[in-house]
Amino acid sequence: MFQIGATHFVLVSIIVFAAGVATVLTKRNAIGILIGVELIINAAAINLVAFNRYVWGQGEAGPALDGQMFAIFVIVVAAAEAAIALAVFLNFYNNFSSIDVERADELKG
Amino acid sequence: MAILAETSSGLGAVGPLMFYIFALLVCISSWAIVLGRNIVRMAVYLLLTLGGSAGMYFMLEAEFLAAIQLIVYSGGTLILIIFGVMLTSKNPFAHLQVQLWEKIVAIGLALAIGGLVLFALVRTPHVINANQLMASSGYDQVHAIGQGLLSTQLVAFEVAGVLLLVVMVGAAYMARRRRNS
Amino acid sequence: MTPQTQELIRNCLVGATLLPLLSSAVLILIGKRWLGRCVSSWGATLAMGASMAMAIIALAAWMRAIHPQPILWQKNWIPIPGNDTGWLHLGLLADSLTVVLMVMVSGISFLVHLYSIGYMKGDDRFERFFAYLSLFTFSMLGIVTAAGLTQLFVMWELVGLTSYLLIGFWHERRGPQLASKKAWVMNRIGDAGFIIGFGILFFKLSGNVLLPAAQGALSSSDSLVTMFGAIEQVLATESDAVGVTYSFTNPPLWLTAAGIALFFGAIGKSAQFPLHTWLPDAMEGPTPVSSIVHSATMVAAGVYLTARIYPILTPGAHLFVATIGLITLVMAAAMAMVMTDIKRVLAYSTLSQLGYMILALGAGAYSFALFHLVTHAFFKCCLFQCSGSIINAAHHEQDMRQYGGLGRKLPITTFCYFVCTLAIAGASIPWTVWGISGFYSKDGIIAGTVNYGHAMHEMLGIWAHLFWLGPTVVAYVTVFYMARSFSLTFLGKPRNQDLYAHAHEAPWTMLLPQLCLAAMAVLTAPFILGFWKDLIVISEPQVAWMQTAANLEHGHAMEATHGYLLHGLAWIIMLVLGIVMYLPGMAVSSHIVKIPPINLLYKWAHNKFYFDGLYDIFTVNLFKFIALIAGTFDKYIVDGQIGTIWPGLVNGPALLIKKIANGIGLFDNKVVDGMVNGAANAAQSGGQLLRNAQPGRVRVYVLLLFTAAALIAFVVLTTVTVNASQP
Repeated sequence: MFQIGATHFVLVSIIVFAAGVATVLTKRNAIGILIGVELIINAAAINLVAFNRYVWGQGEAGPALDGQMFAIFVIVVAAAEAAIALAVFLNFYNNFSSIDVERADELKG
Repeated sequence: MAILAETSSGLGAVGPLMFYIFALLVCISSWAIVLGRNIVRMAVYLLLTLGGSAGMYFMLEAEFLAAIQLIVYSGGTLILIIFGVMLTSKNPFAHLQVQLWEKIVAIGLALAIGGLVLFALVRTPHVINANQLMASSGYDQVHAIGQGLLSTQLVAFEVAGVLLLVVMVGAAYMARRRRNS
Repeated sequence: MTPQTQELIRNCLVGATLLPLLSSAVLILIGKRWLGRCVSSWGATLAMGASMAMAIIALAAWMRAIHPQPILWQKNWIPIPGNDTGWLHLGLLADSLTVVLMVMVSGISFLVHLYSIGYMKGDDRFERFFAYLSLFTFSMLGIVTAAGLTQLFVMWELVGLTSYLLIGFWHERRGPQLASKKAWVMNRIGDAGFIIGFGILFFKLSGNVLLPAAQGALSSSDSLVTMFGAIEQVLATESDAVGVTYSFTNPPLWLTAAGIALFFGAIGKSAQFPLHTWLPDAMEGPTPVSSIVHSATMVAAGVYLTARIYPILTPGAHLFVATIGLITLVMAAAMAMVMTDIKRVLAYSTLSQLGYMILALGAGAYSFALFHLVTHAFFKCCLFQCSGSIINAAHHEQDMRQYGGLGRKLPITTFCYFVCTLAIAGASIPWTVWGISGFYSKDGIIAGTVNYGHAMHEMLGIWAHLFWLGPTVVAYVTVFYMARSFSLTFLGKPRNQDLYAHAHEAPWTMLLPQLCLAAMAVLTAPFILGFWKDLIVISEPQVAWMQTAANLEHGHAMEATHGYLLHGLAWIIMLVLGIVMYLPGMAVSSHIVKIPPINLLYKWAHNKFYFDGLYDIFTVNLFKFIALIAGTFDKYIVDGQIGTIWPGLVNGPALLIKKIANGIGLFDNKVVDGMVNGAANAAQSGGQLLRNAQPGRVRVYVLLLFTAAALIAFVVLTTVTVNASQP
């Protein structure tokens, strides 16, 4: 317990991931869903970095930092995706004058 | 103390303690998002979560990444989210209700998925026992990352660039001002 | 006989036969509309006259020939199935009998046509009458010239049909309707027998039904055989097969049966017992019809048929024929004595004379039977025409009790009637051999029956004597009733003053035929006796097994006959008796008939021996009864009118089918439609159910997404084994 290992970080990542899933599934506000998605992505990033620190191998002049680099990409993609999502939500808000995703049921079959 | 010094991975005695503080921060604030009702509060909790995870990056000796996290994620994405909140709420203090059974199902599913990952974790013993010694400082982390991005991860780098371009164009197009017809 | 003569005779006969058909067809098609009464009637008469002329030419050519032989001329008509070379034929057989009968039939028909111009004047369907008469003549000529039983039968039926049309000519009246039906039905009953006989012969002889008289026309090299020759062959074959020697004197059953069955046709046509009741009723037709059809020709057709099949009749058939003729003879004479309608008297007289002819044929007096046929034709036709004149004069009153004393008003008719009465009586100068025609023929017949009676004596004992006793007695009776009718009509005081006052002589178109026929009645005998013997000798069937009256003890028979007939006195006695008894009308006779046994006989005779009633019960009432049963069956069982229990054979199936249809409909509605609707409903429900998978709600999609992810992860994690190797 005092020896912090990858397990601890992974546990944290699990908790954040679960929180993110719960947020996505329980929010009617579109922005809330977006926040949940961010949480999920963040959890994944934590996971990546944790494994990089504790499991990954050796590079040329130091440990291989592939995990961190991937985490950078994750952050980049998350940001891009947040931007797009917000553009969509703004359009949605303009059309329906509400940010409630329950209003978006025109594809109802 | 000595025990702590031996067993910690170069973080000193405050290693585990710091970890737990940050971990607690992250966990609690992330679950506070789930239980929160107010979108602005949720955004704030998100900020705390992101900040907490930046701290955890620091614990993982990924200083550069932690900085990137704080700058881009907390300072960029979160601000974007705040913009969204501000632009799309008629009543900022409104709360959209979800039925109880849906909440139960959602949390149950979340726990299930979490349990699955945990299950996967348990089944990989070398992860549990992993305790890699980081190389002592002497390597330039930023330099290494930069070099790695442009050598081994070049394709991903370029693709990320293209992605950002596309996103920029798309977002600009989608959010353009429309004349009322 | 030279071929040219043969061809001349053949052409004349064919022309004489077909000319009336042509005139009949023309009259039917365009007679009423375009030709008019005068042209059509005189046209038909002249056509008939031309036919008669052709027949006379043929007769003359025949008589001039030195050795006349029968002429046979046949055309193949219908192939017999199953028999490669066999055919049914249409054709002409001309022998002496044919040519004589042709002249007789066409001559009488010509005179009757002439007579009808006067008699049927003022009738609506004037032209049609002549058409029917010509058609009838055609069919009769067809019978006379037929070479085989096939054509004979076809023409036979046609004669029956035209007789029906002619009897029922005034078909608006009930009497003619019933009479024509009766005639037709009884003819058909006889024809049924004809067909049976025809069938037996056809079957046994493999379709060869050529008349035996054609024997003379066939050379020995011909493959064709007559019926007679074919029967001999078949008998020979059967004798070999069975072992018994069959011949005409020891015949197999089928031969006798065929002969009797064919004779049945003659019974029907010639109104012999038991099919005799139609002839008196047939008097409902116009008098010209009676004079030609029912005295001279159609009823003679039966005698002609019997004469033609004479060679193949076995002794058993001969006995049957003779018996029938005898019964008819006696019965009809008895009935003629008590009739008061003048035409009825003549009708029964015809029946009686036909009985004479049939009896003669049965007894073997072939030639005398045919001689009597010819002479009877002439005088009976004349008698009927005289009666027609009287009826015309008396404004269609036919009851003789209303007549009387008409001799003064209708001299010519009286003269003709008297002459013919003498003819039918067989008048002769006593103790000599000269007389009017009836004398020769009747004497010959009686002689033949005397022979037959002697020949049958050992088989029939005392009853055989009836065969000659009957004709003798009836000869007396014949004179009596003819004298009676003559006296009642023409002599004495007029019993109906009104009728007497209005009586007038008939027009010349009616008188001329009468006179001609009366003349023929007188002159026929010398003419025929001068030439007939040759005709007789040649036409007599040349068969060895028959012993005709002409051959067997002829002299003895003739002597006996003259004795029985009081050497020619009998007729004088009966004539005077008849005339005298009826001079004062019915006064004398009405007393006589009240005397006991006579009154009973009188009642029977007057009621025609109750034959009509008997036939009524057995035919009409029987069928009415059957119809009643059938009607009841039909009403109750078939139509089901007894309440709701039994729906009937007609309605039952309909109801059943209706119920079945209802059931099927129900099944269709509930089950089939149910299945169809059920399938549709299922599809719809399924669709509705599946619709919930696409609610359009984002959160549901997200939920499903994560659920799917969890499941996949679960599946992967539990199935994929993890290598514990270090990365």
